Amino acid sequence: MYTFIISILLLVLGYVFYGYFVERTFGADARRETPCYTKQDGVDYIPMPTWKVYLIQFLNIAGTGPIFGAIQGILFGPAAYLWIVFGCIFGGAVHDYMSGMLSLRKDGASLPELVHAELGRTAHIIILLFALVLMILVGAVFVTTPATLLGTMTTSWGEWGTPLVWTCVIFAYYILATLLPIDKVIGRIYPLFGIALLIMAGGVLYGIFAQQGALPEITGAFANHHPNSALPLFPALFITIACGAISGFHATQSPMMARCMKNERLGRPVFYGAMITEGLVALIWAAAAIKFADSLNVEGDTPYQRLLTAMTNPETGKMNPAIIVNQICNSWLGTVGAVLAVLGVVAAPITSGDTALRSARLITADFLHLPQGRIWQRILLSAPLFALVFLLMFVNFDILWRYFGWVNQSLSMITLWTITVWLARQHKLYVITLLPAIVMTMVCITYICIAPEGFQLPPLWGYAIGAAVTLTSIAVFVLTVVLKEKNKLTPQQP
Amino acid sequence: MKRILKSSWLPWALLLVGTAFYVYYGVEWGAWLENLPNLLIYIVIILALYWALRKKEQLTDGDHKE
Repeated sequence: MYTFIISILLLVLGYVFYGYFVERTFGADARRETPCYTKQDGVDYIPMPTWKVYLIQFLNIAGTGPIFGAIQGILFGPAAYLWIVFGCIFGGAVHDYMSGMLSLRKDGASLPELVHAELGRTAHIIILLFALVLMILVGAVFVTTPATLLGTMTTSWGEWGTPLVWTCVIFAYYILATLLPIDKVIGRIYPLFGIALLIMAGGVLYGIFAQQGALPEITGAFANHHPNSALPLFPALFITIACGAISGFHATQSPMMARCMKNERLGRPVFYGAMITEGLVALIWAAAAIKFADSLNVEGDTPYQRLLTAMTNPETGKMNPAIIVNQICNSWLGTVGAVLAVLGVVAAPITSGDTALRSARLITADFLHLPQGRIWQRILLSAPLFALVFLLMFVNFDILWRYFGWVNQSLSMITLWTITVWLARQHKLYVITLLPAIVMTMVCITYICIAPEGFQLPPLWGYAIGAAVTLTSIAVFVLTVVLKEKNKLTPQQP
Repeated sequence: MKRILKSSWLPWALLLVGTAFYVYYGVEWGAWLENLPNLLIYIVIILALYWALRKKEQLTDGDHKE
């Protein structure tokens, strides 16, 4: 329990002190006009109240990630606490703040455009493809998964409660959320869902303190407790827990809110603060899952084994954290919890899917330099994206989806390098993003080398290749950016 | 006709791909009618795209005239 409480305190202190330091390093200027005023178009660039922007940003980045990812991540042991806390303060929150603020400074530009400015055309095309594939996949998965869940919940409705009907309803909502001005659908629904997600986390936090049982402490944090992992703690844990620690998906979402913020100084509560809130939610769910599983009368000698047993679907044999979310909400929070559980497993994915498609539209618009003020201009870009999502729904894309975690973290790696280059060129303290960039490069390269869906090399080979690529990246950065900038500053000898 | 085909190849291509998917999976699952609403929504999306392209074309023509 002490580890859990200290972890929560560290996250709060991280926001207060390190968040302030990061803000100072960036140089947020309250007097500078933001794109919501300079480029106001009544569709994507609209000034919105800060509390709304914060809640929308929180729900945009949250979705199911900090719940499902954290529950799967705690199977690795207390190391998950460390990754959530330190990953969030020094990695994820800095990543979200810097990418959001950079977008704000560059008129709300999308992530690929930011990468283009700092890393060049090749990186631009790579990240454009990565981001679009990720957005379309998220859009497709988050239509079918909640539709299937809702279909099973509403079987008593007869023909109106089938997955097909729900697919049509969810898809229709996605079309509206993508095409209509941000304050019309997203601006109205998201704050409510965001508050509900926070209430849900608050209720579970109360349950952690009120229920009997112990929580794992920091001792043995570096041991891998996962009962069924073919991969070592490093890098598997760092890919499993993305939302809640650091996630590349966030940088694709931040430009949406960068276009609605009234003042640069609001970046800390909106970008850094929303990420810290997500870290808190992830921490709460990780602790709740392990405590709840420990009290269950199911097969397994350790709490980790019991958690794995409890969330494995006996019919398919696949891990499904929704099972444990449902059980925790129902048994700890009663009837209210049952409603919140529906919100967690149904509404959260839907609110990730709609903004994923909206981001895909904005990314494509930025790339093609097409204005989005008129409805036909938005349909022109959105319709092919909708068509692709629709076609994907016919296909079993499990093979593609297995790469989601890796693609997501690779996106964060490229974003961190982009920000590092920008900071170095602005002669600011680039170490604050260089260190997480180094960690994420090592994680992503090692993971793809040794993962079952990757090259399946022995771990030692994976670490060696990961270290080599990381060192090369550092060398390229020093030679092409740091030394170049240093030469610019040094006065030329006559 | 040639002009329309040239300026709106994307909706036609998407329509062809969608129909191919529908036929292929209809044969595989034997569930043609069940997937009919999916295909109808898909066609609406394609029609919307076609409309947007026509609108763009009209406005571009207008710009040239000016």
